[in-house]
Amino acid sequence: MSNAIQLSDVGWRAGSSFELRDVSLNVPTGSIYGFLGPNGSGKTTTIRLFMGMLKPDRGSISIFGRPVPRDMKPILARVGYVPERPHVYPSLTVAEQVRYHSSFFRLWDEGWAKELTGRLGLDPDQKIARMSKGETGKLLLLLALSQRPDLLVLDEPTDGLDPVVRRDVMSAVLDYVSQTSATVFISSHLVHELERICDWVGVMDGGQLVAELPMHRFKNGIKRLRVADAPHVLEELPFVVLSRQSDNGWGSTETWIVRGWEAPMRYELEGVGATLRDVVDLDLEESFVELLRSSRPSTRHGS
Amino acid sequence: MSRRPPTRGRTVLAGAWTGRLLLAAMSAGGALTLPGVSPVSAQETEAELLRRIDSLTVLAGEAAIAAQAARDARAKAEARLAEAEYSLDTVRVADMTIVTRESDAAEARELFTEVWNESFGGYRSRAPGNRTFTYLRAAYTVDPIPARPPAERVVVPTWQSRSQAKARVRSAIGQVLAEDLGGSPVGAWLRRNPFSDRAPGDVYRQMVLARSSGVERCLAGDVPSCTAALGLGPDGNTVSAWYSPEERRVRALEGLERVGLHVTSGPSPVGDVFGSALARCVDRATPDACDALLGGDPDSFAPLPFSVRATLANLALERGGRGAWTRLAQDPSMAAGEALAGAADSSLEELVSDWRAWVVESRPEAQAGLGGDSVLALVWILFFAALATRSTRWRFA
Amino acid sequence: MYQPMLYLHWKQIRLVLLPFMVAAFALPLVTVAGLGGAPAGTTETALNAYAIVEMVRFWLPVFPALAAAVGITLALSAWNWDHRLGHVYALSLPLSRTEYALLKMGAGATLAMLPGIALWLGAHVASAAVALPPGLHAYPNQLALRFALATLISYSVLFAMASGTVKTSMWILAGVSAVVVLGILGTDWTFLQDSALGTDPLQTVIDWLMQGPGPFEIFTTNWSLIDV
Repeated sequence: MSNAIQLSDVGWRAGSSFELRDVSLNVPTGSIYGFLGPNGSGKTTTIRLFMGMLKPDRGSISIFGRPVPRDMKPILARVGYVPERPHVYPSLTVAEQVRYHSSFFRLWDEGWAKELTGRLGLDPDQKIARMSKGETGKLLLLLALSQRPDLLVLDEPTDGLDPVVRRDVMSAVLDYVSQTSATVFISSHLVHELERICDWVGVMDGGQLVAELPMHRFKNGIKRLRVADAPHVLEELPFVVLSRQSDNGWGSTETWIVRGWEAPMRYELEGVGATLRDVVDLDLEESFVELLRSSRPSTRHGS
Repeated sequence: MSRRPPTRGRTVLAGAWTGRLLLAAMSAGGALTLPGVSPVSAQETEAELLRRIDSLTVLAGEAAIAAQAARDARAKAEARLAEAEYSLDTVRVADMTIVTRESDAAEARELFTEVWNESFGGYRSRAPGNRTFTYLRAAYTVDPIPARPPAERVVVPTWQSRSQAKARVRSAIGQVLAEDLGGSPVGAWLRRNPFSDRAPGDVYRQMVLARSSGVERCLAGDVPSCTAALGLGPDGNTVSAWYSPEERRVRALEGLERVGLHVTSGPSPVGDVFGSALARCVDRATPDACDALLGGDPDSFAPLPFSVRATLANLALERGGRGAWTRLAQDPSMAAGEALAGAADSSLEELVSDWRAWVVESRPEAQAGLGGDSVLALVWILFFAALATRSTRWRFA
Repeated sequence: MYQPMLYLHWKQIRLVLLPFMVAAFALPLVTVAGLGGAPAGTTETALNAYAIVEMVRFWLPVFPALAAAVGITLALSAWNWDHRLGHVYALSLPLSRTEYALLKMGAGATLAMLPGIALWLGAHVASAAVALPPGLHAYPNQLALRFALATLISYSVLFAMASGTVKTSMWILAGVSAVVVLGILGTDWTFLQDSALGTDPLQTVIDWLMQGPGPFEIFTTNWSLIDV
């Protein structure tokens, strides 16, 4: 499977305050890739790196197999970008901004742009300076989608938007994907939003990519177990214990967060003298939180 | 290469400006005002008017300070030349003594000889004396060669050509010999070195802006008007040949403004002969009402300055060739017009006509060089455009 | 790409550019207002020649100052929104940086011609309105050409500076400050008096900039609408 976006051992540092370390990221072509991470984890920095706005200190980046930033011009002709902060010109109206943007893209779809304008409820004669945050967000998406991009990069596209606008935005994205099988790279810290639509997920924390795997494995792979009489030191197990915590601070029952659990593994557990009391599926948000907790040195318990 | 005044001189000048401000501040409540600031009022007394004139002495003091600064500059240049080792030589050509550096001696002899033969050959001064010159080829314009008695200095910048050097030598010799014209009518008419430089374009401009209908007629082709405007009119210098009544009024009132009397209208501020003449002029009583206020010497308000007259004399000497100078200076009683015509070996009318043609032909191209300026501007525009395209992609920290 | 870029810049600057155009049109008319009233052939024409040239000289510095103001305003406005929005939009377009900068510069340069055209019209109207005495001529085309070139020069210089990063601008500012400080101090440093820079390094630099072959030479040429 080819990758629409590929970062290999990319490093970047801004003074002494923040560093991106050894980021190796692969976005399969045709996938909807959710890029998760708390605020300040490096999501926007990563996006700027592969969009050719930041120069990496080391490593390599390619989009559709073309090196960044050497082939930036043909790359950007195929990329629709919705940045974190609006970058449209306040002195223009919607129609003028659309006309301005369309002049740079040969594949611009005028009919699709008009349809989206109506569908997203935008007034062509409205001045951008007077638009609400939601309307501006919709405009940015309209501009990105009307280019007919092969890769759609959305940096926190629904941040600060009300649920209705968020729904409109995501529905437009999904419609586009269903028509064109374009690749979508969407970053957000709103985990539940991505749960429904993404088929790949990458998790950033503290400037590093701590996890990158298919969504179903991410969702299903992290469980909460209640275990009794587990030995203090664990021998080699077929699953990863991300954290273990004693219930109520005393007694022999513990709560474990594990990754890679499958049902037959209960016998392995019994083999070391522990008793499995309960298995609880975690949703994406809980999985995400536990994953972050485990990746931070002060909270790591498991092997 | 010209040099700015040395620091000490500038400090002195700065001090002079501070002094002026202090003086002005001290006299703010009084009657001492800088020239041309406020109109004369009926309440202003003669004493107050005289105080205005006194303020001019302050300016004269400042002029003395500036002269001192110039002397300081020369002293500094002399000191620097003394530091460098050089030796002097003296060259004699005709009755001229030229003090120069050894290295410049041959050139000085050649130039002075050539110029003397071409422009002054055969001339014997009525008052021959020791005419001393200094000659220096150098990259700076202050000539520190010591010479006694005070000599006429010729400094030729190193980048100037031989013909330019000859022009300087000619001008220097003419400056000295112009003394011979001293008491004669042509000397009184000319009052300066006939070889002094004046760009022909400047003469044309001066004539267009002379504010003289006589000069205007001259430019239009009326040669007698040219003769009159140059102060060579057959009836003497008649102001009516130079200026219309309105032009005379403008000049008279401007002259008074320059000494601090700004007059608009109203009753005469001073109740005497001067005052009544002023009133008649202001009120345009008669066409010649302002003539009395123009001054006693017609040459002081002639439409064309002496430097323009010098160009006519220059043309006459050029036309006359060898012996022209002798013909110009030989008869101290000859009228100026006659002397000029004699020097040129033609009639005065012909000479003035040719002079007028020369002035008109040399009308400056007011927009000369626009082509070159445009090309230079376009080159710079392209340069900065190229610089702008270097705008970097890496704009984020 | 060029037309939308032009339209964008026009939209951003039109409220400022229009007054400049009005000023450029009016300036020649103001220069000659009330002049040259006496018909040719009367005795006042000689006075008028002087009055006309004096008035032209009085207003003369305003022309290059206006040209510089137009150029500087256009240049700063060209990059204004890019700086404010962080250049993200420009960097996400499928254009090389060179292409983007050239498009922008071309758009601004086109707008810079508008005040020049207004001045050209105004200069012709002014020249026709005044009765010129003998010896004087009007130069409306030459004045308009100088104005256009001066506008473009100041536009291109500031455009190039504004296209740089903050770091570049700080370097330029530091360089200019160094020259100024050197000039102020250098008048007392005797070793500089004998150097190729002459007595005053600052003055030497200014002379080079403002006279040929420096970039601002056009500002110190003859800007007279009416001259001999």
